[in-house]
Amino acid sequence: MSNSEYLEIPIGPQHPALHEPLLFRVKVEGERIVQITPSTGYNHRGIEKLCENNTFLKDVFLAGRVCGICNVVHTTCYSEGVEKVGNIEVPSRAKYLRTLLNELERIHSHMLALAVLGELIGFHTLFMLMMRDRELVLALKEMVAGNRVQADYVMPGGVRRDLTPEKLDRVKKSLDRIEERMKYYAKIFEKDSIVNSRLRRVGVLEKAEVSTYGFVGPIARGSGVKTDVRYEDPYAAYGEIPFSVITRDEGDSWARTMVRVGETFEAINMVRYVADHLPEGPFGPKTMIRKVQAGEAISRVEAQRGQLIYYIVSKGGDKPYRLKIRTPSFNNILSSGVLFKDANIADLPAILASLDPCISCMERMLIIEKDGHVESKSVYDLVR
Amino acid sequence: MLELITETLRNLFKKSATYKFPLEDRPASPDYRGKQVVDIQKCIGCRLCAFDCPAYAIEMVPNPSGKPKEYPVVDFGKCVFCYQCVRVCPVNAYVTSGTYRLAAFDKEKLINDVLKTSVSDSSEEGG
Amino acid sequence: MPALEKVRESLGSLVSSVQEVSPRRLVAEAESKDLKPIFRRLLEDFKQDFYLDFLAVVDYPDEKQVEAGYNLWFYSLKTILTVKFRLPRDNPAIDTISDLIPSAVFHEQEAYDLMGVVFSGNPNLKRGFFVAEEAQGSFPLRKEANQA
Repeated sequence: MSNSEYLEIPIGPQHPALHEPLLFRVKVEGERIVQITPSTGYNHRGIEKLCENNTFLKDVFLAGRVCGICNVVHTTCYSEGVEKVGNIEVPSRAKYLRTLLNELERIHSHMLALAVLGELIGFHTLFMLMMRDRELVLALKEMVAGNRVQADYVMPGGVRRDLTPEKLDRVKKSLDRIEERMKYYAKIFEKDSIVNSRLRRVGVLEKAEVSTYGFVGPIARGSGVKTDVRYEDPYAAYGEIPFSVITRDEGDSWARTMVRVGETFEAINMVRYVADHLPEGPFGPKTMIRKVQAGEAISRVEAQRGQLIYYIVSKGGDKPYRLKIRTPSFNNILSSGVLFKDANIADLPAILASLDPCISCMERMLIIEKDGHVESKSVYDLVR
Repeated sequence: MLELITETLRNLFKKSATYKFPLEDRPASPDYRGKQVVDIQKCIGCRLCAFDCPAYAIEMVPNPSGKPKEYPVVDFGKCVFCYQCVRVCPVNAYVTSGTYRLAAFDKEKLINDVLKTSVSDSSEEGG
Repeated sequence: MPALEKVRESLGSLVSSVQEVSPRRLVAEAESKDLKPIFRRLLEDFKQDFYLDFLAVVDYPDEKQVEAGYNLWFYSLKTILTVKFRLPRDNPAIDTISDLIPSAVFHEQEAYDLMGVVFSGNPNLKRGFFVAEEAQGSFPLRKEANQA
């Protein structure tokens, strides 16, 4: 059976199921997917080159604008990188405050991922209810950092604002309400028969394929690999806070969803711990960091979608020599062709939403060119 | 399944989760990073805010009355409201606020020169 | 340090030096002809215990070299190993490892499109969206592109 007998359907770049532009060329035989190739480059902005022309202090704002949902982890990773290169000490109170905001962002991002998953499988009521309850988390972020989405809170050497005890009480009260609602949603994802029939045994990833294809984050943890940067290579205050890493063995879309639900509960407990054990002291650096000594460093943090890495090379001036960003969606989405084996077209949104794609993150630096027709030499070759 | 039906029925009797903006006004919280304006009595003309702005939105303009020699003019078309100017000013000359309705029909109106005109809240113009 | 010893023992004379530059980070330097033997040796000794994290290319026009760094994360050793190769700047070419590690295809593609490093054997190397039609022939991440 030659390639030309399959029907090729383009999904994207403008499509109601996708929140950001991404092109999937899907070859189908009837209802079954035979081959899928993603094609990107619609959101590219040239951030890595731009960072070489601006000072270290201005680059923290550029790094925060790589992605809207993950802006706190980008600024945290960049600040950790600059501090490693320049041997800069961070006060203890700043480390705990960074942890607090990182975990608040994890809660709201996982609620968004679960709500979008609900919407893509057709469950609009769940989407609306989760978005209404997510507003509680965004109001907390506005109180802590000054803006609901773009926090601009972390800078090299510390954080930019402080928290009073009254605000910490309000955080704790809001968390009780959020946890109560999350327990209700966890029950739906676990027990509801329709959600289960759409997500179980769909998009299965074997444990051995995780390291061959380089998957990171909840996708790897949903297939039984216990890997989490907060546990293996602690940064900020994670070495002092007790938490557990959630893993599942099934490897299908349902397992990935339950990993995210479990991580949301862990994040709520971590914010409570930080609010109770916040140490006294300064919250920011004494002077702005203008010059950084020569050297290079790699900094890694656990973003909501996996492991995020910044590689910074400095030659001793006030501008970085090279800044390389590798986001988790880069590894996850481009290798994702292997998950669509023997799936139906109708399963494509369910699998894609369980991967939690963040296209802006992926595209700040990458491109895969598309030919007129797909050749069988591609790594996503799934033709039987 | 049954829990979803009871939840839906309960929601029929709760108040609505959305605000009727722009018919009702929706003020931002007191911590929100809104429009920032320089107080010219305190400014000393050190140029640190223009030097550190990541969006290159601040321009130092000569002051006809002489004191300070120069003062900053903020272009709200380029500003990203990161508040680096507020933080780095050595005399705390920037006055912060929660104003976020700054849209205008003409790009020139977004350049905020405190000695000439000031960028007004677009809700006052009925926009 | 057990991680340093294990990696040294595994790679032996294929690399010129292995050092621990900071906690949980090892750096090794090697010749570009040894790329495939190094990865074959690592796959034999460690099998599924590591994955290719990222591939960073840095331009050093003063030394007339381009440096390609392959970063690997080892799950059980909990360390990251950087293997660095120096390539001549006027003709940076190196083998591909996408037949050994499938996920390397798009890492190499990004390095080619932005810096011009040619990975011989990679099926997907193409120029494309970054550089406009009129300016094809220049690579965005090289230092001379600042003046363009």
